[in-house]
Amino acid sequence: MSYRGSDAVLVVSPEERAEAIHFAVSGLEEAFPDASSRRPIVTWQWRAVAALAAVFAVLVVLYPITTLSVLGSSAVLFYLVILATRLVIATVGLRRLERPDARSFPPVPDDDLPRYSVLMPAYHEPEVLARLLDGVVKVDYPADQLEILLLLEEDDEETIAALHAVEVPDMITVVMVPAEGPRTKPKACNYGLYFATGDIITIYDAEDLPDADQLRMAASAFEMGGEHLACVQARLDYFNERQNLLTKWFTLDYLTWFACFLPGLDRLALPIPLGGTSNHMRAPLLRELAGWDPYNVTEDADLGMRIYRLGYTTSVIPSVTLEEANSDAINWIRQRSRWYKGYAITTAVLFRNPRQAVAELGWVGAAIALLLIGATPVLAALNLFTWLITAAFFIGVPASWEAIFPQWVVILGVMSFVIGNATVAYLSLLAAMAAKRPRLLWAALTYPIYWLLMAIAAVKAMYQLVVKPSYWEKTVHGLSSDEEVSA
Amino acid sequence: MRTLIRRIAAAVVIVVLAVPAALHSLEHQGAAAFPATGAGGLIALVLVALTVVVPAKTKDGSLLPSDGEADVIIAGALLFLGGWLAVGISAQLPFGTILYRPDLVGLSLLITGTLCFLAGTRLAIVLLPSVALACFIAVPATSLIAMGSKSSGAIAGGLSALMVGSIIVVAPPRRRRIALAWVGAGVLGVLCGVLAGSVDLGALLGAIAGLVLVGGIRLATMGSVHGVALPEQLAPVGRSVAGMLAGIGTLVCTTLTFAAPGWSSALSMTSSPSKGHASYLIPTGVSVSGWEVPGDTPNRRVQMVVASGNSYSSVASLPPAMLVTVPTLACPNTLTFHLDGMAVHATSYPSQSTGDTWQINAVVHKIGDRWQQVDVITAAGPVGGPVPLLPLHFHPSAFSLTLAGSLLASRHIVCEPLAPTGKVAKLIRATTHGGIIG
Repeated sequence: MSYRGSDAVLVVSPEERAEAIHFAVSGLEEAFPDASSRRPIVTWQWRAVAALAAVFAVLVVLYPITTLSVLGSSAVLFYLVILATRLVIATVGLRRLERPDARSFPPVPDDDLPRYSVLMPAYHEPEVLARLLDGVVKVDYPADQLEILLLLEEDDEETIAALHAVEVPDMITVVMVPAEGPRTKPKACNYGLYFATGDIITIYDAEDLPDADQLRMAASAFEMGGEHLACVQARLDYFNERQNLLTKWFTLDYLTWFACFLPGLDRLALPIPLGGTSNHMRAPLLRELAGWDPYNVTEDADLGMRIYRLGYTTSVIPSVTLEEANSDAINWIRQRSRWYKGYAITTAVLFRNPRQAVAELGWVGAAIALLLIGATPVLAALNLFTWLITAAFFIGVPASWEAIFPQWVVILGVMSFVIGNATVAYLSLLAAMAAKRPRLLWAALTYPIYWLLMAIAAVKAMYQLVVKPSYWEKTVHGLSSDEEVSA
Repeated sequence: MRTLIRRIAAAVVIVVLAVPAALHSLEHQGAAAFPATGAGGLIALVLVALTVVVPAKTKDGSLLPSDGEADVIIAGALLFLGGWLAVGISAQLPFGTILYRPDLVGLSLLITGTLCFLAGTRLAIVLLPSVALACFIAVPATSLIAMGSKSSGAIAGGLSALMVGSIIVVAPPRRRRIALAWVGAGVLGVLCGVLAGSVDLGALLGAIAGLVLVGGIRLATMGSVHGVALPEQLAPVGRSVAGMLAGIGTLVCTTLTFAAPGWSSALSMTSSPSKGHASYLIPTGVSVSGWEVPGDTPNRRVQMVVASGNSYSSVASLPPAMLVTVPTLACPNTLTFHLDGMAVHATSYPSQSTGDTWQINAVVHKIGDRWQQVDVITAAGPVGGPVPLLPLHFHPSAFSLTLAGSLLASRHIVCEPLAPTGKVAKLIRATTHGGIIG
């Protein structure tokens, strides 16, 4: 392995730079205007929300008790439907977790391996740069078929300074992303995509530690998956789950999502919201899709939906990428609020034309998109209010509440509260045990506290959805110790 | 350094909140209550020490930005909940009870919310658990009330069974682990029984049923692992579904107990009324507890009755014959006494049957509309014959904390002299445990 210094930076002509940034910022909007979230919620959607609010207000004034009773019981039914849906998907996915993936991924001979481009965006992350460069050289793939593009923002002086202080492996090319347009990861990735030369593109975050053979397994999956397989998603996990209770909850969260829900969706042939990294895509198709949405803060979930809408499929492979779990509650809230906001934006964009969305996704696919992506932030935000109401009932409420929440609604609500919370905690418990990680047991049993954090993040996301929809809440990485990384 | 300063600030806030609460509790409950209160104070001190000493596990706290939006959201929720507890709920309490202190909990939340708003969520997160626990522990009767809550008991029983059952269901099929799980189940089951069963038989039965069910399922799936009972390929799904069914079954059992008081009114008397505490559940679902108060005049007696009910029964009329009668005397020749600091004025009624004059003090507490209504009646009169109480009407409510538990847990009656020259007030303490079955 040879190393080089600052000459690793890709030299770009002004014309190329202009074209690339145009593609990165406006490519999707020009190719698929309806798929861009530059205006996340369009006029008719705002009007629909306003109309619903107005009708609700009128009904509350005219028939307050009936209206609030119906609203309360509808919320309970909403919870139960989502609960049932998640239960079915997770049960299907859990079988795959309990029983090792029976599929085999025969190794592709080196000469037949496709050319791979790995995009690694980093922004204000000098502390993980050394770890990143150290980790990426461990990837097992022929060097002449591998291209790694380290995407740095050109005004990110601290990371650039850190780059000059280390030796950059030969296989890495540094791409300086212009500080124009939205300051988001998808814009940086689009800029990198413009210069990428690989047949398959993947993204790793700066702190990622992928399995060494992940690229080979993904290449094998593409070879076996046929032309319609557009994307392969590896499983994400955390290397610092032991750091504190929050990292344990987060690990459990990821374990349930990537090891239960996504395999369940895969098995049921339903749309898969991609994870933020370790998704491997055919480059021509990605360009046909005009890359990632630079204005969407969960561009990964959005891309998963667009892939499905075009009739392509996504598959999940049993390769793991280790990431750093957020170990600080506030940092976690910022990150999760971005995800929730992105989910809301993705849903709004997806159902901008509801008839077309249903035609492309199918009724089941559309329902899953609504219930798994759209409802997630809504449910989490609603939790904060429903928990307060529940607390009110146990502590003591004014007599007028009895009319708004008749006895049957209260009983149904209590059952939903108890069974719903127990079910989700139970699912995570099953996932932990199936994955043979008993140390997560107590995290599973104390999971409701984690949901409280989720609720706060969701309320924040709803606020930002209105005020600053494309604002990217930056997550601070590098909070775990080196021992945890090496463990 | 900054972290240390914040932790010391946290400790100061905790001490400022917890110590006055403990002293207040001690002052009103007397020396007999000291062990509980003192233990609460000690635990609070331990929490303080932990808060100050235990270092943060993050590598470098200075890397982490604050978040104004999260601060506002969390502060808003805390202030809302704290304000509601401190002002809204406390205003519903018509007397200054010392056993249930929503105002203290509310105050702690208000302070934490304000700190969160002013100094950031990170500080509040460090503070909140310690503050809440310290306040909770400083007023130990709060936890007794929570345990005595019928609905909470049912849920606690169901959830405990669910947790234990889940562990049993998903535990790897190894003998030692199963044995440990069963031991754990047994311990938790007993705890469930103590907590839930004392006030709610249904919760106890539900918990036991849940444990037995998940145990049976576990044994069945164990067989499937060895290829005996179920096909191996169905075992994972079977375990998942079975575990869920067990959990839901347990919860349904326990949830049914919400309606139990109305159905199980035939349970009637649960303890002996001969001397000391006695409890009745009359057919309307209103529970009545009475107990003796030691007296010093043999020909007079005093009985104290606490009645409580819930919304599954409508208006209840309490027949005098249902009352327990015990010969004793509490405050002879007095017209006023204090019940937990609340002045109670006596009213004299002639008995319709015997013509004797009875001094009857009826205190009706309507503790919030969704709270269990508690009525305290004391009656003093000649020994023998029924107590000539007027018919009492109850307007009870459901899903309440059993405030009667607090009234029964530690009762102080301070008698006041009738004449200004008066004799020394007498403190009579009557203590009983649990007893409310409605």
